[in-house]
Amino acid sequence: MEKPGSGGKLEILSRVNLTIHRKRITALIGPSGAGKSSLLRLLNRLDDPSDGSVFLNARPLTSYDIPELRRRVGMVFQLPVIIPGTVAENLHLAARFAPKGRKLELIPVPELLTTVGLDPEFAGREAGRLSVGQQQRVSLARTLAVRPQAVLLDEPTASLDPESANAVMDLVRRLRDGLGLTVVLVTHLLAQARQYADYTAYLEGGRLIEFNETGALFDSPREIRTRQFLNGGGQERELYPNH
Amino acid sequence: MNYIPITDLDLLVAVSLIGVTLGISIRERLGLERDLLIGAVRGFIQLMLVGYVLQYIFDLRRWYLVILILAIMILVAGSNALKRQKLRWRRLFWILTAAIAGGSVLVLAVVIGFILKVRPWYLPQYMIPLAGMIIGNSMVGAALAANRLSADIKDGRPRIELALALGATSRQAVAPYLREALKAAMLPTISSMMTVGIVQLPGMMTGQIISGTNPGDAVRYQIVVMYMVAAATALTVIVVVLGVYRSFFNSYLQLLDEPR
Repeated sequence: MEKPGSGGKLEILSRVNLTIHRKRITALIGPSGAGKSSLLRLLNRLDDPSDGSVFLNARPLTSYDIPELRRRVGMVFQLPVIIPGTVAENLHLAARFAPKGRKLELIPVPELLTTVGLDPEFAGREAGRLSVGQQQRVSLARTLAVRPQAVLLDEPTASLDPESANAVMDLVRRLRDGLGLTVVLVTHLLAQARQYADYTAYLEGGRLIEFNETGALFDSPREIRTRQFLNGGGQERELYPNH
Repeated sequence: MNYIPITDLDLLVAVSLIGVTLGISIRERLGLERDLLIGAVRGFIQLMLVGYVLQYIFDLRRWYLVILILAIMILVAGSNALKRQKLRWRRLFWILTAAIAGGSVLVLAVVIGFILKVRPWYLPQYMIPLAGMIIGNSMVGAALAANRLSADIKDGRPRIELALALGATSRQAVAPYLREALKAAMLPTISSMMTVGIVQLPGMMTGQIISGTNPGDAVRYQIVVMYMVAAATALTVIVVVLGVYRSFFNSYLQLLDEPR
């Protein structure tokens, strides 16, 4: 994958060959600039690779209707994006984007709130007034509203304190178990990957270095670079002393 | 002739009025003398030249000359609107120019063909002043709309990508920004309709009255002009907004880093 950068094209990802397992949590770890988020954005076509293909259910992504694909593969961003209005309006935002002449079957607001561990009385509250942790739950619930098959989480707990971070991740795990959700998680927290992910992929410099079941990757990495990264505790640890 | 013509001597007396401005600038040490003199001379020359050009075109009365003038006015308006943009890209000039041209020509055609019923249609006496007013206002609207929308889309990336990720089309993803840009660009026209005749007397109406048209008739012209300007601005602004937002997306509903 290439992106236009200063002085020509910048290569961001190359030779990444990765299978995401259905109904499992896959973590993407690696130093910043490794291409984790760029890879994630290829999975719902917010970006396209300049070369190569991505498949979903054995069909290339390019064969799907794009809005349909994005509803099927939802995304939660690093910072919660809240639109002005109530929590209920945020949760059912997708209804505004329904294809012409069709109504989307959204999960009802109270059910969404319960799913993400918020009291149903939150529905009428001004979403912008919630705490960041609560806003991120609302973001997750909003993504779930369209009944996605998979969700992409781009550092979903980066702006949260450790307690709310764990709460959100516990929730993600319950969603995997309860709804059979496939999850791809970008994280800089090795402990988070280790604790919650079924599979982990280690990326460095735009390359996939190693991919394995989480336990195996952490306990007996095959690649020396993976070992170095894990031994260093992840290069970004010191940047986030609170975590 | 119903009006008092201005002789060369009269003009000279008028020049002395600039002396008043000059005097104030010197007395109050505003340091504006240089700019004032240049402005006064430049304005004088430009207007005299335009007078000759218009006289020439009015005398010749050729449709192709009128079209040529309109084309030049539209191109200049397009590049002027471009000059006011903080964010520019290659196609933007053409988006602005096409929008101004589309909105202006359509409305001009209605006014010339069906309201004033000017015959022949290219009569410069009607065509050029009306086109000037329409194009000038469309230009301001186009510049406002493009500036507002491109800034909003740049700043709105998280919200736009959120919408895209929820299955929005690019149009749906920027819908709130389209509305804001349309409003911002049409508001000046609407608010000037509110105060017209009370706070300001429009230049065209005053001109007509001085040249002998009775106020009742001059007002009718002004009303036509007012609606004509509003319609042309609205059309122009819609085209600008559609062109600008499309520059930010590719056909795969992806928001680009830079408009193209």
